[in-house]
Amino acid sequence: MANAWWLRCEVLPGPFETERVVVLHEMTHGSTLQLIVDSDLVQSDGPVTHDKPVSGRVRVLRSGETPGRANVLLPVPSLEFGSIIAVPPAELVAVG
Amino acid sequence: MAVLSNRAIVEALESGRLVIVPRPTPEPGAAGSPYNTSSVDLRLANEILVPRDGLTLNFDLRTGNIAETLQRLSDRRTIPPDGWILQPRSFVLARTVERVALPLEGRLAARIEGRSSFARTGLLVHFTAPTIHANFSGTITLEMINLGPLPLVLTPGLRVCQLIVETVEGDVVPEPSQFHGQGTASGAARARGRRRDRR
Repeated sequence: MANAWWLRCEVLPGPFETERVVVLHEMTHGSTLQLIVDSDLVQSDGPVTHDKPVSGRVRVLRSGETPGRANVLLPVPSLEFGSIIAVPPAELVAVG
Repeated sequence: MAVLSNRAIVEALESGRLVIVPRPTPEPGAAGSPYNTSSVDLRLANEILVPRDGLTLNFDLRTGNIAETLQRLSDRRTIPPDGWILQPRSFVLARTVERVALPLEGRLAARIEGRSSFARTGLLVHFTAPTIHANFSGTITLEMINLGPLPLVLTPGLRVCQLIVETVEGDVVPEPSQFHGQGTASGAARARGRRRDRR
């Protein structure tokens, strides 16, 4: 099984042109995480604008399993939970 | 941990353990080379974030919404070819032209540092968080402050900082072998190596 996955998220423009703000809702302990990620590691389902978050995916590496959850290595550490978070497997899509 | 020499940096680039796009040229030893004996210079991109004046808000660091807040409190500007003047006591965020990727399996980490000559003018190129961890992929963000007495002119393409590459010793969790050959962030960067930087 490939370990590179897309994790569903919402996407906003990043501070720099080559970045995106990735918003992960309710992934870990019911918290919402925000990450600034290189734009090449993010897909979006429409134009990324400041008006409203657009649905998309951020590239992660799957690093293990816990009951009902998949551990993923984020492309950058989150402030709250570090580099690895546990997410519902249904939020992951295999990289084609 | 050991710091890579200039030749070792080139070897790491050749093997894919380290990715820098566009690749720094010319090679070590050539006139004008960006390679120092144990680092490689990176260049200032033409995009900066300038904090807005007159903000009166208290920024609660516990919220974690730094990305969104920065977005609202800063203006993105383009450095013109003849330069941007960084006034004394002024702060901007900038970034490197080069994208850097450190594949997990490469067992390398890196640090971004300023350049000593610029430091003498009072320019801080970054002042915290210099470490670039394995699995990173992207341009390097620079936190720049002019602590000197004179306005400083920042120009696009300036060799503004240096990348120091180090080996990582000991076991890493998660194990890099878990991801070997997968489409990692670094892999994406390798693919990007075949195209020019977007600016």
